[in-house]
Amino acid sequence: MTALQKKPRLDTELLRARLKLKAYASEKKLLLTSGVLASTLFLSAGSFMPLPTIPTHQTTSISAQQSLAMSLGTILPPVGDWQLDNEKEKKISELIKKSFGVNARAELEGNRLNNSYGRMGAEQHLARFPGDVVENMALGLGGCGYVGDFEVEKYYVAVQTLYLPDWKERLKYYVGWYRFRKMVIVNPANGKVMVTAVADAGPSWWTGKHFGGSPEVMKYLGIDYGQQNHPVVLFFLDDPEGKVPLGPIEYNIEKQI
Amino acid sequence: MAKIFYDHLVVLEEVTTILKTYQLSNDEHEEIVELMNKTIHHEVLSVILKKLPAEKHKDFLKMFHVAPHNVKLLDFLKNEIENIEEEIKTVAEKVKKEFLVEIKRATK
Repeated sequence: MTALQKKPRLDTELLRARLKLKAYASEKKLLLTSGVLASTLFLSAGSFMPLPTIPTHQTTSISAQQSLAMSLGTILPPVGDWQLDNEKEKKISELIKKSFGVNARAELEGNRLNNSYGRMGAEQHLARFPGDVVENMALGLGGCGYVGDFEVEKYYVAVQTLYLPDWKERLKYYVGWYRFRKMVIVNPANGKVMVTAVADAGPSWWTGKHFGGSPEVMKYLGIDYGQQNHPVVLFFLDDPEGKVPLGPIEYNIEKQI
Repeated sequence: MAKIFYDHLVVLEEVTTILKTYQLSNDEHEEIVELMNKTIHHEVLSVILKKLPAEKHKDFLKMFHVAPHNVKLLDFLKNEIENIEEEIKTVAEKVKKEFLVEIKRATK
């Protein structure tokens, strides 16, 4: 390869060093701008919630995730045994609530999936509207048709509604109830939590997977490696007022100043 | 990154697209984007707090702390600051350009 053809290389050490300086300078500027009130907020441990990249918050966020992961490790059965009894489901709900302020339930309004703990596999993007084209897109429509909402498509999951024992008898009810139903996923390996929505049915039983996740879901949870087939906990979000948004939950949303 | 009420006003795609053209490890990429997000966040909040009347700081920060994603935060700011959306877009664009300069500077 000649010098002219040589691909440019990024000096990441230099870039990171300079970006750290910029971040530090901007933080100082913010503290000066905001005065005593915000300074107190920023500097009190774990009080400033919105961005996990702020040092004090990062500590809180990471410890909450680690704490959740460690606690789940003592509750969940070994990989391969995917059945949770009522007591375990209740404990997991309590842990999620305590760590992130989210009401997550294995059973909601009398509905439950065959599995609330199982393997999640990678899904492709779904069509949001007729003619929609994006990279890594499924050929047909998802189980809920055109997704419409971009956020839903970004944070969607597939669940095995088709294997519910009374699926055929209650098809109409189930289709309506599960369509874009909000779910809470936890990766027990790292404690990462995300609110997602059901937008597809599957995967097929023979894949050995119990749930499917959009590319963004898989990436955020940190399970987009290897066979992309890793254990997760998947509960319903109990949020009748629709206050909890889709996407990662990185702080306790109920925590007050 | 956690969702924040002004996310739709900050477009960093140009920077992340350029970063993706380099062979960075996932950790390197994440750290760089995280530093950028942190800087943008500080700068945006600085602009907001500079423009917002001091007596409103407490209300804003309380609301922001409880629900940083809440779109009502933007409505609150719109009532208090003229053209706040433009102000946020402008500062985000300025910082983005600085990031592009830094990337260029670090390119060999």
